Parts: sequence; C-alpha cells; structure tokens
Amino acid sequence: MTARIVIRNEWRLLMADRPLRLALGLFALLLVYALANGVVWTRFQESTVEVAQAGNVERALAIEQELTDIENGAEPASPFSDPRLPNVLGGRRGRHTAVLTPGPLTALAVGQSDLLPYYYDVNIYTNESSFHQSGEVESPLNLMVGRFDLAFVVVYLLPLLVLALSFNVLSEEREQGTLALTLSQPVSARGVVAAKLAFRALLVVGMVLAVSLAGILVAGDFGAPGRILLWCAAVVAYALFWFVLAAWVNSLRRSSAWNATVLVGAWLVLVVVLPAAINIAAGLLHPLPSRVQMVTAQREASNEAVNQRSELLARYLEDHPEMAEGVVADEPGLGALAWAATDAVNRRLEEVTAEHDVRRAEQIALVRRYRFLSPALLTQEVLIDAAGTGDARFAAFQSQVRVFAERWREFFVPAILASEQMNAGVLSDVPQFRLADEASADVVRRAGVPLAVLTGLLGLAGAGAGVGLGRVRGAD
Amino acid sequence: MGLRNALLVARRQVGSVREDRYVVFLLGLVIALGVVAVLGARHHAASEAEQRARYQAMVERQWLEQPDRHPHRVIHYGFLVFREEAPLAFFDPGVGAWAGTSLFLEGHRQNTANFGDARHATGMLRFGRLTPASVLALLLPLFVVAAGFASVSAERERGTLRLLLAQGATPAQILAGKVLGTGAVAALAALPIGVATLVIAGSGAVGPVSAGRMAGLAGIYAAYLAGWVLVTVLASSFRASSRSALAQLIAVWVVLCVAVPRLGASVAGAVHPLPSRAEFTARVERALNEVGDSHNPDDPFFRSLRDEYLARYEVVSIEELPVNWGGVVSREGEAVTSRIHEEQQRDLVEGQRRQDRILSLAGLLSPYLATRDLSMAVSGTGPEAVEAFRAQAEAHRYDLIQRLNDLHISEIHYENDRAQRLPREHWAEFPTFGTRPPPLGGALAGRALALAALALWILIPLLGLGVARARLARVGVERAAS
Repeated sequence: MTARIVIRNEWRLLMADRPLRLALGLFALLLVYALANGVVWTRFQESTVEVAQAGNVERALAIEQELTDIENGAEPASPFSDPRLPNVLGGRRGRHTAVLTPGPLTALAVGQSDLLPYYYDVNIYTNESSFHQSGEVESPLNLMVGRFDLAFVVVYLLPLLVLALSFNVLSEEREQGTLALTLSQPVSARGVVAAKLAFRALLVVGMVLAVSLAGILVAGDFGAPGRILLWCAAVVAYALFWFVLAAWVNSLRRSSAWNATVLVGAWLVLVVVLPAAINIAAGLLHPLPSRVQMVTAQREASNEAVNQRSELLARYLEDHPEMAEGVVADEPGLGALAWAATDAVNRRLEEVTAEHDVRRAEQIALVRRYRFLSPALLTQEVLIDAAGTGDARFAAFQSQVRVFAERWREFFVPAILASEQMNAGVLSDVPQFRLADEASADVVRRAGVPLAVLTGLLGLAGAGAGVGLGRVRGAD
Repeated sequence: MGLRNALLVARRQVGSVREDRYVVFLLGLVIALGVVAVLGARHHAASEAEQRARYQAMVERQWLEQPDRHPHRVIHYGFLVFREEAPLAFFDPGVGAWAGTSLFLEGHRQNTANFGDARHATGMLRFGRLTPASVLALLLPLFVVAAGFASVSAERERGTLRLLLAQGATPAQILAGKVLGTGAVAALAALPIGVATLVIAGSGAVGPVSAGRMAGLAGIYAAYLAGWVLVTVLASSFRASSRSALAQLIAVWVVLCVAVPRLGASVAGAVHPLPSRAEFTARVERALNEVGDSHNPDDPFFRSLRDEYLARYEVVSIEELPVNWGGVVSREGEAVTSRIHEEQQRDLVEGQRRQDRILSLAGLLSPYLATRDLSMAVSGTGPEAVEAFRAQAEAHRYDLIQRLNDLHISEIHYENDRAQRLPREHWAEFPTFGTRPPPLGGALAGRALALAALALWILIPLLGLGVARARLARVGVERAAS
C-alpha cells in the first residue's frame, strides 16, 4: 500500500524533473543505437561466415568437376594444381574453412569477436603458426577504442544513470525538510528508500532488459535460454549494485552534493581507474611470455628441419609406422621427403607453442584474479561470456580447429607418402569441420564464479545500506 | 593594477584549494597514478625493446649463417622483422598493442604483421591501460573539475563575490584570477608526469627523442588542460550553485571522454565499412589470377615475356639466353604480384584512413579525441606509424627478393639450375632492416582538423567567459530575487 503511494509519487516527481527526463530519454536512445550497432556487426560476421561456407562448397564442386573430367580423359588445367595430387587436394586448393558462427547474443556484446579470428583456412600445411595470423583487417584505432555495444552502455553508462537517479534519494528529503514528515508515518527509512529505489531500478533495468530482449528477438535466437538468463542476471546484479551503493552513501546522512561527489568518485575508481591500473599492474607483476621469442623459436625449428630432410623421414616413419606402408622403402618420393620436413617443423612448433601457451595460461590466470576488485570487470566478463564473444569460446574454437587439422592431415598424408593419386570417389570422405559449440550449462558454470562474486559485492553493499538506513531517524 | 587584482584572486583560489582536504587528496592520487604510469610504461617499453633487439639480432645472425644456397631457396627462407616502438611509446603507446609486431618477409606474397599484444591478453585490456598519456588526457581533466568547479560559484554562495566586486576587482579580473589559480593547480598536478617523462626521454634510455616532439607534447597537453580549466571556471561562473556546476562538468567529461570516442568509432565503421579478411584475401587472389601464375611457365603473360626475351637476345630457345630464364620469370612474377598486393593493400589502408578521418571530425566534438590523435602523432605511435612499418617492411622485402632474383639471373646457369649454390659470402651483402618512424612534420600536417579542434576548445570557452563577465554579478541574484 505504502509502496504503491511512494511509487506513484516518485513517478510524478521524476516526470517533473526535466534534466532527469532528458537523461532517461538519452539513455534509451543510446541503448537502441548500441543494439543497432551490435546487430550490424552480427550481420557482418554472419555474411562472412556464409561466404566462407559457400567457398567450401564451391571449391569442392570445382574439384569434383575437374576430377570427373580427368577420369573422362581430360588434362588437368595446370600441372601445379592437379587435384589428383594429395598435396593439392589437401593443400591450399582443396582447403576447408573452419568457421565459428557468431555467438548467440553477439548483437548485445561484441566482446572479443572483433579481435579474435572466427575462421581459419585448414589444409595439410596448417600448423601452430597458422593460428597466429591476424584476425579481421580492422583499423587498429577502432580496435583500441572498442565497440559501442549494449555491454559498453551497461558497464560504463548505466551506473551513471543509476547514480543520477538515486544520489539524493534520502538526502533530498532531509534537505527539503520532508524527511521528518515522511518518517512520522508508520514506515521505516529502509522501507521508503527501498520503495523509491525499487521503482527506479524497475525503470532502468526494465529499459535495458527490454532492449536486450528486442535484440535477441531481432537476431531470432531464443535457443540459448541459459545465456539469456545469465545476461539478465548480470545486468540486474550490476544495476542493483549501484543502486544499493547509492542507498548506502545516502544512509551516511551527508549532503546531496557530498553524496554525488562520492558516488561519481566510486564510479571513476571502479569503472575507469581500477581496471586501467590493474592492466598496468598485471603487465608489471605478471608479464606475458615474449611472443617475439616464440616467433624466433618457430623459425629456428623450420631451419633445422629443412636442413636434414632424409634423416627426418626415417625418424618420421619410425614414429608413425602406420604411415610407412605406402612408402617404397629404398626410394621415397619427393612428396614424402618434403612431408617429413613439414611434419618435423610442425612438431617443433607445437612444442614451442605448447610451452608458450602453458606459461601464458598461468600468467592469465594470475591476471584474472584481479578482476574481483572491480564489479565493472566482473560484469563485462559475464556479459561477453553469456553473449558467446568471450575469450573462452574462441579458445575452444581454436582447439577444435587444431584437432580438425590433425584429422585433415591423417586423411591426406598417407597418400602423399605413398605418392598415390586421389579420385572423385574420396571427396565424400574428406573431413568436414563440425563446430561443437559450448553448452549453455558450461557457460553458466564458467560465468557462475564472477557472477557469484558480483552478487557477493551486491550483498555487502546491501548489508551496509541496511545497517546504515536502520540508524536514520526523522529527527536528523 | 588589473594584473595585481587578478593575481590576488588567483592566490585566493589556490589557497581555497589547499584548504580543501578532498582536492589535496585527489592531487596526491593523480600524481601517484601519473608517476606509477610513467615508471610502469618505461619498464614495459624497456623490456619489450630489449627483447625485440635481441631477437632481431638473432634473426640477422641466422640470415648471415645460412650455408651456400640457391638464391630461390633463400627467397623462400625469407626474413623476419620486428616493429620497433617509437622512443615515446612509453609515454603514449598509441595503437601499438592493437597492431602486429612481427612480419615475415618472403617471396611471392605479402604477409600481414602478427602477434599484436591485445590478442594475447584478456578482454580486460578493453578497459584501457594506465599510461602517462591517459592520466593526462582522462584523469587530469577530472582533477581540474574537482579543483575548479566551485571557484566562482562558492564565492557567490558565500556572498564573497559581491565583496570582491565592491573592493574594486572587475569581473574580468576575477575570472582571470580564477582561471590562473585553477590553472596553477592543474599545472602542479601535471608537472610530475612531465618531469618524469622529460627525465626518461632525456636520459636516452628509450632512444633519441627530439626536442620538437617533447615540445609538441607539452604544447598539446597544455592546450588541452587549459581548455578544461576555462570550461570549469566558465561552468562555475554560469551556474548558480557549485553543485549544479559539478554535475554539469562531470556530464561534459563523460560525454567528451567516454561516450563520443566510442560513438565516433562506431559511426566511422558504419559509414566506411572495411571488407572482412576473407573477402580481402579473395580479392587479392582474384586480382592475382587475372595476371597469371609466375610458377606456371605456360601462362600467357610469361609466354609473351619469353618471346620478348628471345627476340631481344636474338636466340630461339631459352636455353641459349645469356641470362637465367628461371630467374627472369621469378623477378617479373615478383614485380607483378607485389604490385597487385600493394594496390589491394593501398585500398585497404585508404579505407582505414577514411574511418580515421570520420574520427577526426568527431574530434571537433571531443577535444579528448583530438588530443589523443595529436599525442599519438607526436609520439610516433599512431596508425600511420603502423602503416609506415608495413610499407617500409614491404619495400625491404621487395628489395631483398629482387636482389636474390638478380643473383639468380646473373650467377646461376639455366642448365642444372636447381643443383647450383651461391657462396654464403653473398648473404652479407644485403642491407639490414630498421623501422623509421614517420617524421613529425608529416604526422602533424595531416591533422589540421585536430589542431583546429584544440584551438576551438580554448576559443569557445574564452568567448563564453566574455559573456560570463557581463553577467557575473547577476547570476543567482535574479533567481534569489524572483
């Protein structure tokens, strides 16, 4: 009953305040613009993925056509790209593009998807260094600035709106002298603040969630309810965190101006300064292993390998007896020799990269602990993970491509070693990449930790606010 | 007399800031963050530079230690170059982390630079890194706001403004004094970063830094912060209460420093979309297929080239040519493919530049963008530095490959081509690679818009203060009277 009166009056007050009305309208506009931006990006990725998949089909058809023609007596178009050669069919000409379809909620959070590659060309020469090719040909300046997506609006701008709506939720009543009047009614300060903030929270969170759901509707993907729930939970928890923080600061019984300064200071520290400081501290305390070193080691590996081909072939056949069958023991073909060298380079690359990756994973694990210091970092992580544009999904994609490249080699290399020719009959057996996308449950489990910490921070601020408001009396 | 009054007001302003514990605390915080940023960035840059130099030397040694080889084998062996950061990258790393750091140079193709820092970090990097430049451009304005939002309005609220006016200070003197006082406090906050940067740059530890670049940086940030001082005093003199001046200034900061940069980048991307990498690669391939395949001797382009050579040397078969035909094919093929790669690359860079131009238009709305742009240009860490590295590496690659092809043509006989080797002494004849950052003049010349934006950032609030002078005594009074 009281809550209803408070909420009705709050609505009238809000609508009477022109700057606030403006801020709310601007926020709604920015939300819609951010969503549109994200949708454009998703469409771009989708069309790229489609082109890549069409390319796979097209290449396969052209090769099938040429193989059939050759079987019917035609000459190959060029001796260098004769599709009967396994190193051509499995090489650049017959390559298969493995693609990662955009995450289910990419339109809401671009995340790392403009930085990390979402498609790789796989052929028999694919090795660790292929994974280090650049992502999109994006301007580095734009990458640095980042995208204007919903996640950005939520993480950076939403707190400011929340603070603008609630920095004086109690102090104003005191300054206008209405606090004593309000509290002379049978209500507690806690109840009044809760009702006022609940109304504002409903308004703000409702706007964000409505636009988010509209985005999911536009993208037409309700297939990941776990992710949608996770997204909503993170938005709600983060918004509530700022509301509760405002309530807590209000409970300290200082002036509205003091509240505003402290709250904006908190925003600055938690959203701008702390993440930037964490990034620099992480770089100093836990520097990532040198990439330059890895590149040089990769190069050294190739040098060694090429210098000792025939030796390598013997070693390769020892290691892979299953491949030896086709090789004529005393006169290995050129293809076999070349392959042995290629394989040796790949193995060495894998060693070098594995070592580098282990060290990098350790360092990143250390660096990631610091994110618990800032609710903005936590929220960002949950949001992009829910959207399917976080680091983890891309890492999973890359490791699946790695496995796929291995299968690809296993399919073509025996034929190369045996100097066999391929025909149209094998085309249907050529490996195809099938993405095993992470299950919603896995994402929820992974994002559960930061979300739990965020909720914990929310609880802490809530307890502080509860205790503080309990002490507020009308006579203050 | 006029100057003395202004100085008195300035001293009064500094004094009131000194008494404000909150602002003094912020001053300490900003200075501490600035010094940590300078030292951290210096450490980071030094270790990166040291590694880069070590491995570049290693790659060069590997090159020299090659055994006797066929020149075409060396073309495929290739060479690896690393992007050197500009000496001032420790102050403003610019787009460094977001662009590739190593580039593999080999025959027949142009690779793209790989191994950008950002690809190896986590998504947290999106929040930016604390650098001396970001402390100056993002955090110092907030400190200026904190130190100056009450400069005029507090005098008005306390009623001392009328006293000052009654004592004979003109509104212009009061405003000038407030600007000078707030400016002095801002300068005090910026000084440690400036001195630390100067000491590090002057010590030569990061490489030679020209006085022109240091002066340029000093000028840019001085102008940018001066603009913030003016805007702060202006808001303070226009607003009836300190509280609403503060709210307004913080809103201005959020819009200029947080929202507009992202909005600008997203508009730039929408207006001038770039192709996807897959599409770009496909374009290059299509263009290459049109001219022919240098590895395919039956290609029409190379057949006509053969006829031309046969006619020129008046022989009937390539075996009789006094030059090695295999080498000629390789050289001409390289010339054709390089030209196509370069054309496509130029299109791409042109597209990126068009996006950057939209961002510089957005710089007119946000002096933060203009300042960042100028700061990167002067530090030599902007997008054009990345492009300069690519272009220089490509020129080096082309030179390297064609020298090898020339050796192939003149030193290797056509008969039994593949079995021949060149003595390893040849490898020492090749020039070494070094990145040359774009010159300061060139970097600034393309940024007239950013310079204009910075000038406007000072001029507009100055004009505003001119208006404020006339109404100084009236603001707040009318409302109180009505």
